[in-house]
Amino acid sequence: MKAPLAQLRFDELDDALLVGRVVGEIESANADALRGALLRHLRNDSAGLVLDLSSTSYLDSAAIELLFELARRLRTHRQRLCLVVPAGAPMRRVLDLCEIDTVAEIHETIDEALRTMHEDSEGGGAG
Amino acid sequence: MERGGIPEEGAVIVGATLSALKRAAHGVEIERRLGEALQLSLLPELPVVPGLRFAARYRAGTADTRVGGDWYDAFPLRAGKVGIVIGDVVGQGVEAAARMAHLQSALRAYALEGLRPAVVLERMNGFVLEGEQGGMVTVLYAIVDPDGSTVKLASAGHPPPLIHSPGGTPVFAEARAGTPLGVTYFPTYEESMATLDPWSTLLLYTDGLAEGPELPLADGLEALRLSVADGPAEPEELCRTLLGSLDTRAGSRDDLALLAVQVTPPERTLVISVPTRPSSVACMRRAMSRWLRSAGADDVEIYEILLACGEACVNTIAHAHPAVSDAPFEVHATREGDEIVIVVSDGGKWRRPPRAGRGRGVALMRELMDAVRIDPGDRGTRVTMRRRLEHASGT
Repeated sequence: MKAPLAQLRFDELDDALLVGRVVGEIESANADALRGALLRHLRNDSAGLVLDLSSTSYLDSAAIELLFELARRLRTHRQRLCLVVPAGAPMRRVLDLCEIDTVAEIHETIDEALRTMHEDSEGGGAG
Repeated sequence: MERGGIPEEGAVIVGATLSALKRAAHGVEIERRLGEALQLSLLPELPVVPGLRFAARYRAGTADTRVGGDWYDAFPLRAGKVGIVIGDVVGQGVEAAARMAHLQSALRAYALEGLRPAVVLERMNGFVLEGEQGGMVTVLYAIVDPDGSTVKLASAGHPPPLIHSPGGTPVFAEARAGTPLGVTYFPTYEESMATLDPWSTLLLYTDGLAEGPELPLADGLEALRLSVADGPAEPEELCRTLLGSLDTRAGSRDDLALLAVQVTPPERTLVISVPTRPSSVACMRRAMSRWLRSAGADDVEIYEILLACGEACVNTIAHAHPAVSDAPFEVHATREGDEIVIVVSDGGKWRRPPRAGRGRGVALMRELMDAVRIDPGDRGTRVTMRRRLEHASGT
């Protein structure tokens, strides 16, 4: 009886966005499955994906590769990728080293992330 | 009737029982012994958990006082954590022992649901009020996390545990004694958290250990604290010492239970040997994370070292020579001064990773560790990585 490395939850319901929360660890063994699950839930008319990593305890290079790939996929549909990473999260420096902020917006709380995503899309209309 | 060896032994037992019967004035003694036997048979075996050492004692009261339903319990929870319990059931003899058995099972059931200590006590309060008959119960429930070396606890009218850190004086954990079980439908239980330094000992006890006929509980608690200060830290020895000094300290005739838990950091060197399979990397992380914590690494250092180590392992597994892919790969971790040294070795061939994907993994290894050396060989690859800890302490 092995516990899964991570669970993907869609607790936050939002009409315009897909909001996923990853509880657990993302690494080379489950990154592909996670990508599949996220892409299955993502609609083309959605404004983008908010991926909440505040309950994610581990990310390896395969997970970071997954984030870059998601960002690329989203961009081709003019959709945005937003990551929630709390201040002081151990993974923060690693994300910075990989310059993930060049392809995704990073917010410290889910509320902040949702607010920004909504404000931007209601405001000037995302370009 | 006669079978070799047995009759004589049987005769002795019957004889002893008869003479005990004669001695027992009103059957009180039998009741007491039955209660004690039942109690002892119900008390659990202590779990074996990496990073923790347990010892416990139960002692029935003396003949002229009640045999209560004091109990202790300890059981593994998820993620290497352990639930520990100490409780005191007001009642007598067999009845109290049976009641204690119900409470023990109920508490275990709630605890194994993964509920927090305060919530477990709320459920227990409901359990006592709805389903039980009898007097008041005090109980303390705590979750020990050897990984983070913390204990989270809540008390239902039970005296607070003692924490004895090496080199310090024992202190009572801050635990507000909430409402005893079975008193009201609106109890209050607060949770508190304490840190457990390596080699510190946590002592849970019932009032029988501190209270005596002539000794009020407050004075008894202070006397107990002093006994623990002078006593050994090793749980088994601590239990023996505390029971030994009981008569001079409290002269208690009540029954009593005590449970001691010591945080035992793993060895200076960690050796992990796992099959060369992708699922092994997560196993490696569990063991390594606990070891790094005890070696003094903080959360960021633990994550970054785990990541570097994980990348080395993933590369090893992805490129292990097919012929030896069932052979284990090994991870050694040592602390040298304030530096952590990790060696990952396997029977495979290290491959220069392609630009994308794993290229980032190797770059991260080099970025996160102070030094990385990769020694490819025909018989296998050896990756040696070093990282100095910022606030290295102890060990």
